[in-house]
Amino acid sequence: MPGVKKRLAHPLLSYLLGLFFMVLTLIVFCGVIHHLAFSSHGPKLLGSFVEKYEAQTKSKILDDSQKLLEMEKHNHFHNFPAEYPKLPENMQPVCFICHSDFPHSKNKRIRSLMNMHTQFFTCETCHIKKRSDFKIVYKWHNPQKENTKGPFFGTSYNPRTGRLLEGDDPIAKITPFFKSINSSQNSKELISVIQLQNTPFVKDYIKVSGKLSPEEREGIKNKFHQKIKPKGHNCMDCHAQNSILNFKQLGFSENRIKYLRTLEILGMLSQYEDFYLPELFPDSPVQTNNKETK
Amino acid sequence: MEISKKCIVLYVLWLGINTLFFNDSLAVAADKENCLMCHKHRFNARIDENGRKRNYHVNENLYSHSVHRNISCRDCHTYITKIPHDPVTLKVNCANQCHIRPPFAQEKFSHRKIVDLYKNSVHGGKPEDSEILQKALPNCKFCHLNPLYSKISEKRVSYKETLARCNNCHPQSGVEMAYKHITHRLRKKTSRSSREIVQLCGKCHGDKNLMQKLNVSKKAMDAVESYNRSVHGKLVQLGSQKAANCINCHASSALHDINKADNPGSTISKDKIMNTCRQCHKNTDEMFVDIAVHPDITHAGNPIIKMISLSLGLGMYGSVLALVGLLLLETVGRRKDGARLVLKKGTTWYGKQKSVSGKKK
Amino acid sequence: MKANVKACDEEYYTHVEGIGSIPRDIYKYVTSDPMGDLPRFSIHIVIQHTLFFISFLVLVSTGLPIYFSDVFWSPYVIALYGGIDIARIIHKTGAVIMILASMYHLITVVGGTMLKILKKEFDLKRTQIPRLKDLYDLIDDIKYFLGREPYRPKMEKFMYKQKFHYFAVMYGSFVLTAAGLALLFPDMAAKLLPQTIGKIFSPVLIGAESFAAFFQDLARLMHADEAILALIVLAFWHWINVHFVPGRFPIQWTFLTGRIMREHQIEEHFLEYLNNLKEIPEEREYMRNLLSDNNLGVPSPESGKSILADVPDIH
Repeated sequence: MPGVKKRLAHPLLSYLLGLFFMVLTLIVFCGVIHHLAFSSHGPKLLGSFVEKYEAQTKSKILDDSQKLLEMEKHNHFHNFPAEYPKLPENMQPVCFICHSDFPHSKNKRIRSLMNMHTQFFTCETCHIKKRSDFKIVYKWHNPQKENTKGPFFGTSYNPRTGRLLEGDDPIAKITPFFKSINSSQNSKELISVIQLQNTPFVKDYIKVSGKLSPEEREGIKNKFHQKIKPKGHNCMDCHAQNSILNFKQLGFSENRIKYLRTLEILGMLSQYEDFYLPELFPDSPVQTNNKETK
Repeated sequence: MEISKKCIVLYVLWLGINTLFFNDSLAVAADKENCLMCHKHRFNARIDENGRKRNYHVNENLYSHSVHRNISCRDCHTYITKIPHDPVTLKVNCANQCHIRPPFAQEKFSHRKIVDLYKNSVHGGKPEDSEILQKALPNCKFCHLNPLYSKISEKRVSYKETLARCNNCHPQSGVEMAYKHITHRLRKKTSRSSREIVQLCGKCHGDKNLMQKLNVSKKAMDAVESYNRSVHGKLVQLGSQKAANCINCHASSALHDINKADNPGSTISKDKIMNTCRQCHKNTDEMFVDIAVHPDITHAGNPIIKMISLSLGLGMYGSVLALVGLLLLETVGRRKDGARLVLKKGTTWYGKQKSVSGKKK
Repeated sequence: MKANVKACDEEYYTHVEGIGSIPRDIYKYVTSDPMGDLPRFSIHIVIQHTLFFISFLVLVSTGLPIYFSDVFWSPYVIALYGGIDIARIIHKTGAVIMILASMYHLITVVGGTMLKILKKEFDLKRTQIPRLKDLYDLIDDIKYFLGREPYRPKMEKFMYKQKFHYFAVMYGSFVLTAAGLALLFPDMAAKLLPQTIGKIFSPVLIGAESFAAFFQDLARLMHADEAILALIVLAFWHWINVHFVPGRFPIQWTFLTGRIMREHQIEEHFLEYLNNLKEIPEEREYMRNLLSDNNLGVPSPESGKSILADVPDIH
C-alpha cells in the first residue's frame, strides 16, 4: 500500500554492521586526534601542554636514579634476575624507610658482607637491646603470612646440586620476639620486637613527617631507636658452637648448621685476624678468641 | 620496549626456575676457590659513596648456565689474591688467557683476537684521541653480557629429539652442553635481539649531548633517529629479527670491525657496501647503494620531494575538509527537505509523510 | 513557499509515456526496502568492492603500526597479528588481494564496455566517465543545499561525488601499488628504473642522488601519505556519507546486495530511475499505481494542471 508504509524495517543485522562502521570511524577519529595533538609524527598541537606537565613532574633525582638502575642492569655481567621476591614497601619494617636493604656502609671490607645478612634476618635480630625482664626468642616471621612454615631459603642444601634450597617462603626472615621471663616454658605469649609500618604511631609519623621541624623529626627518630643498639652482635655470637640462634629450632638442616657454626665462616673469621678491623672494636671476641686459641 | 624488557626478565627468571627444578643436566659453575660462599647471597651489595648500588651477587643457578660457567672466578678477576679480598679497583681484561683449553687447540683460550680487532676498529680508540672521546668509547662489558645458553630446537623437531641420535653413543650431559655451545653461536650471532642492539648502540650514538661533544658529522648526529625512521628501524622497533640492525651493515661476521665509511676496511666503504647490501637485497647494483638507508625526513637536499610532501599534506587536509564540508552541507540541505535519521520503521521523509496521509484520509 | 510556486513548473513534472507525470519529489512517497529495490551493481562489482574493502582494512591495520612504529598503540596492534614478521606477510597478502581485485575490476569494466558497444547498448551517461554535467550538478546541488533551488538536480547513475571517489580510488590504488612494489623490491626497482624512466629526468632536477634514490624516497613518501589520505577520506567521508546520513542510517545494503533503495534512486539518480522505468516492467507498474492511487501525478500533459497544485501543504 503506497503512501501508508513508506519504508520497510531494516533487518537486525543492519545495526550490527552499522555499529562496525561506526566503531571503525571512531577508532580512526581517535587516531587522528592523537596524531594531531600528541604524536611525534604530527604537528603536536597540544605539545606545549605536555611539555608543561612533564616539566612539573620532572625530577633530576628521579631521572638520575633511573639512569643508575638502568646502568646497573646494563653493566652487570653475572646474570642476576632484575627482581627479587620482596615485601611491598609499606609492609617493610620501619628501619627500611631510612636504611634500605643495604644499611651497612662504614666498614669498607665487610659492609657488603654484613648487608648480605639482611636476606636472612631483620635488623633487630642483631641490633635489639637486651631487657632484664624478657628473654629473646628467634622465629621465622613473614608479615604477609601468619605462622609461616618453611622450608626457608638457606636452611638446607639441594643434595643434587649442592646449592642452597630456595624454600617456599622467600620473604620470611628470622625475627626476635620478647618472651616474659616469668611466663612458663610452654606459654606462647610473644611480643614482637620489630616495628612495622602498620602501627598507629608509624602511620601517623609517615603522614606528618613533612610538616615536622628538623628537631622534632630528630626526636622521633630517637624514639624509633630507643630499643636499638647501634652496634650489633659480633660474628662469633652466632657463627659458633654456642650460637645465640638455635639453628635446629629454626629449621636448619644438620649439614647446614655444621657449615654455619664451624666450617669456612669460622675458619675465615679466625684466619684473618684483621678481618673485623680490631681498632674499631677493640674488645671484639673474634680477636680474643683467636688469641686464646693461639 | 618495556614489554620486551619485562619479557626478558621473566624469561631469565623462568630459566632460573627451570634450571633449579626441572633441568636434568646439572650444570655446575667452576668455583674451586669457593668465591660463591659470599657472592651467592643476593643481598651482598652496598650503596656506594656516589649513591650507586653495587651488587656483588652472582646467581649461581643462572651463572652455571652461562657461556662462562667453566671459567673460575680468578681467571678473569686475576687481581684477587686473598680472601677476604681488598676493595676492587682494577678491571677485568678480556684478552687474558684463561685456564680453558678449547678442543683442537694448543693454547689456552683467550679473547685476544677479538680484542685486537676491536682495538683496531673505530671503537678501539687511538692514543691521540681527546679525553672525552676516550671516556666515551665502550669497553667489552658495555656491550657484552654473559649470555645464558638456551635450548634451540630444529624446525619442527623438539630439542630432545634433535639430540636423540647423539645420545646413542655420547653421554647426554656432555652432548647437551656441546650442542648448546655450538647452536648458541650458530643461531645467535649476538646474544641480544635486534631491538636491543639498536638500544645498545643508541645509548651513546643517540645521546645528542655526547655526540655534540665529540664533534661528529651531521649524518652521524642523526644516525639513530634517521635509522628509526627507515623501514629497517621501524621493523626492528616492532620486534623483527629479519630486518637489518646496526651491526648487520656496520660490521662483518667478526662483529667488532666497526669503522667509518672512509676506512677501506669498513663494511660500508665504497668497495664493500654492495656486498653488504647483498646479504639481503640480492639484486643490488651501483644504483641501489645510493638509496638512503638513513633517510632524511626534512628532505633538505631534495626540493622536489619536499614540495611533493608539502603538497600531499595540503591536499590531504584540503580534500578532507572540502569533502566533509560538502557532506555537512548536504546533510543540512536534506534535513531541510525533510530527511530524518530513522532508527527503525517509518519513512526517511518523516515530516512530510503525515501531511500526505492526512490529506488522503 | 518557493517550492510551491515552482510546483507548477514543467521542471517539477517529468512525463513518462504510459505512466504519467512524475513529480520530482516523489521520493518522499515511495515504498522502499532497505535491502534495495532497483539494480545498481552487478555481482562482479559487489565481489570487487568486498575484496577491496577487506584487503584495505587489513592493509591499513598492518601498515599503519609499521609506519608509526614508535607510537604507543602500534606494538599492541602488531601483537594482535602475532608479531611483526607475520604482520608483514599479512600485509603482503592483503596487497596481492587488492591488486587482484583491481585487475578483476579492470577486466570486467573493459570487457563489459566492449560487450555493450558490440550490442550497441553502450550509454556514456550511465558510466563513471566524468562529463561537464557533473560540474553543473555539483553547483546546482550546492545551490539546493543553500536553499537557492527548489529541487536537487536530476542526476545519472553515478553522480559527481561517486565519480570523484571512483577516480580517487583508482589513482590511489595505482600509486600505492607502484610505491609498495618499489618498497618491497627496492633492488629490482633500482635495476629497472634508471634504464627506462631515469634517463628522461636530469639528475640536477632531482637533487644530488641518483634517480633510484629519488624514486625510493618518493615511494616511501607516497606509500604512507596516500594510505593515510585514503583511510581518512574513507572513515570521515565515505562511510558517513554512505551509511550514516539521514535516510541511509544505520546502513546502506547496496555494497552487499547490489541493489539500491527506490527513494535513494529517485532522489539522487533520477535519470537512472527513468532508465529503470523503461527497463523494468514491475517498476512501471508500481509507479503507475502509486501515481493513480494517490492522485499524485498530472493525468495528462494536455490538461496542464496538477491536482497537487491545489494541495499546497504537501511540499
